[in-house]
Amino acid sequence: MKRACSQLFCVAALTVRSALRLRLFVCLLFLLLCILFGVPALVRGDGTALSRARILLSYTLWLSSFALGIGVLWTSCAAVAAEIEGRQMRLVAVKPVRGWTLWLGKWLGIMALAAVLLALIGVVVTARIALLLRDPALDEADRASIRNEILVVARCLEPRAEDITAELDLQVREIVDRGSLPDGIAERDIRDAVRRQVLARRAAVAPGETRVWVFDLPRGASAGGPAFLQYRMASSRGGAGRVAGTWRFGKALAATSAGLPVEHTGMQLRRMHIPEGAIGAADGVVSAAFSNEEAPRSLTAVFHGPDAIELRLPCGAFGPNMARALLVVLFLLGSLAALGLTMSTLFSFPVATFAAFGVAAMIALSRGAAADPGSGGHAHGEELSAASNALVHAGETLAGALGAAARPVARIDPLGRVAAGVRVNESDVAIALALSGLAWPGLLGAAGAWRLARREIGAA
Amino acid sequence: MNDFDSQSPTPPVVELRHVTKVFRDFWRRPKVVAVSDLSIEVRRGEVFGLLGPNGSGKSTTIKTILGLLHASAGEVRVFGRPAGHTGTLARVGYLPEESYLYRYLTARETLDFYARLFGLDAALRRRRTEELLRLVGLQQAANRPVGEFSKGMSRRIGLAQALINDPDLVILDEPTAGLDPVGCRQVKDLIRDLAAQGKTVILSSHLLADVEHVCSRIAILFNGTLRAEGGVRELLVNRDLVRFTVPCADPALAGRMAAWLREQCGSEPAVDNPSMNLESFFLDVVQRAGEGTTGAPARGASRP
Repeated sequence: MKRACSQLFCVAALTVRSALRLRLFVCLLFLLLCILFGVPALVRGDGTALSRARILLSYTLWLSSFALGIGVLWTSCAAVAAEIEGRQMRLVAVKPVRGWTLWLGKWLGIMALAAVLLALIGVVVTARIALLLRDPALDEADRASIRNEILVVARCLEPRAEDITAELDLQVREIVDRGSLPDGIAERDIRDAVRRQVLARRAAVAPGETRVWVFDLPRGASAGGPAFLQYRMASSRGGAGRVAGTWRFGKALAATSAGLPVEHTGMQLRRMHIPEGAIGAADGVVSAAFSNEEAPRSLTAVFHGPDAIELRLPCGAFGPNMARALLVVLFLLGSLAALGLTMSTLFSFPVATFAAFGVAAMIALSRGAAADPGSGGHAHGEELSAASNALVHAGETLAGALGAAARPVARIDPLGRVAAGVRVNESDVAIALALSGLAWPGLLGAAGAWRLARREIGAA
Repeated sequence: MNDFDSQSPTPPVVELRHVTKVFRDFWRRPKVVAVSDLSIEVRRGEVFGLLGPNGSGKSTTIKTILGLLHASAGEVRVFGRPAGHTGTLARVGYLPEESYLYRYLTARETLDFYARLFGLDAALRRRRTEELLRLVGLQQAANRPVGEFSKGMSRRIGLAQALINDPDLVILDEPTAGLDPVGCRQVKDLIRDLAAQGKTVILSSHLLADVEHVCSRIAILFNGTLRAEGGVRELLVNRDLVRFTVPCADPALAGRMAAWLREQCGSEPAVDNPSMNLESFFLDVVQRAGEGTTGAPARGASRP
């Protein structure tokens, strides 16, 4: 065991040393610095301090992490395959080193490099925002907006899901009983269509109507600052329509109580501060109601989409949240490194690179397709031959499996959360560690080590 | 010749039994038969030479012994275990036919890296590293990256890494390739020393003089098949001829002895002055030059 640990450390150190001495690290560092300082200089947004801070946290952070991901994948593809082709691996393979030691040592070395570069990204982005706050050209209002809208961390609560089963059953039964459906339509398809219809109807608040959303507070949750409601509202006339209404919160839901009048045009995200006293109710529930106060037969307000409405409870500080987000990214990089390393045990360097990038792209795309089931997949291929159909089906199954494997971590969206001021929970970090940092690299590592132990290193 | 002698007193260090190696193309179709039905064994303390022209299967055989290639048929055992077994690799040192070292590591780092892979502790690593740097004459270049080394220096550091674990079996593929005559002699002396320490050496070369000087047994391969195997003396000796070497005989005495031999044997004996080989002459000149010996140039100088 002691010898294995020594070998592991030795291979990891060699990987780091090679990246440093072959100037790979310097090249990556230079690329990241170009992004970290170039993107904010090129993308100016609307020119306000708030916009500059947003660009740092969104485009800059995302692009630099993406570039690091590409670098990690490429480096890991080279780590084994290039050594086999350069024949250095021959001298290593004739030493008493097991395949898993080699694989894991390379992985640890790449992860050490990735961790350093990722930490650098985090430090530079955070430092640039801190410097922005100290910019003497900013007035107090600009600083306050950065503090309150950028350097915040909030816990997001989605509204309680409404039970639409009874309404769904009723409508489906009515349609089936009417007997006017064409042959060959399954009840499941009818049910799906009706469900979408019911949900769309519930997303709409007609003139004179009031819609209530209920948010369940997590146990022990308390607002660490002013809580707010974030929503995206449109009118039935689209972006151009203007809707006037009133928001009421907590115990003041009665229409007679004083509300917060609003008048919106367009579909931007909006924030509404929730009055003190509406949060922290003894029953652990916060209610929000919107009353459409337009005249009858005029515009309907529409709250549609996955992020149509959510409650945000401030909690925690920006720095730790950024650290948690970067940890999740590091674990994702761990999976990328594992993918590249395993591909490089299977194929030559160019083929391994192509395959690794292909699989990574397939995972990214299949995740998108899975999020929008209507857009993905072939139209059941009536016009295709049986062989083509089988091929398409196999491809869809593979993409679906990859997407399903990636989804638990991908849905965490750590960089999106940091940019939106949403808390990355410890549980998210734990999930990312378990899946992306341990389970997937473990599986890929087992395959890579197995292959490495059986590959004819001397044939290259 | 191909079957083992089951009555051999010591177990073989390396055992190849009917080994065939076929290289295949992408579609798994046979492309080249590199080694065909090869059976040899190497015993402890032997310096075993693998001889053959380019493409005869020497390197393939060595890679198969090391587990870098897998035999398509037959069995390869090293120290009684299958080739490539981690336990046996700890007792093996290997010098490949070319320098496959990490170009960005210095000579000292290179030796330390391979010593770590063998699990040597820090003190032993340091000691072995310094010993071997001295042995191969690279103390002055210990902190230079291997990528800057000449071919000869690369061979030297390659040889040092092959010995870092004080191996029981040393496999050397073309060990003298790229070395100057002094280096060649040092390597040959080293091989003899290793054999004297009871270590087993397998040597692949197409430089016949090298093999003849150091090997106790040889196998000659051609087109992947074994064409001859046995002790060097046993294979090379001509039992039909006898040579006498007599020091300081004057021409008259030599003439009388030749006449007597002619009379006794019934044929004309060959009488000449033995000459040293070029390697010995070169080494002698270089050694004297290194010691600062003055005097006439060596051309035509007679040596005892």
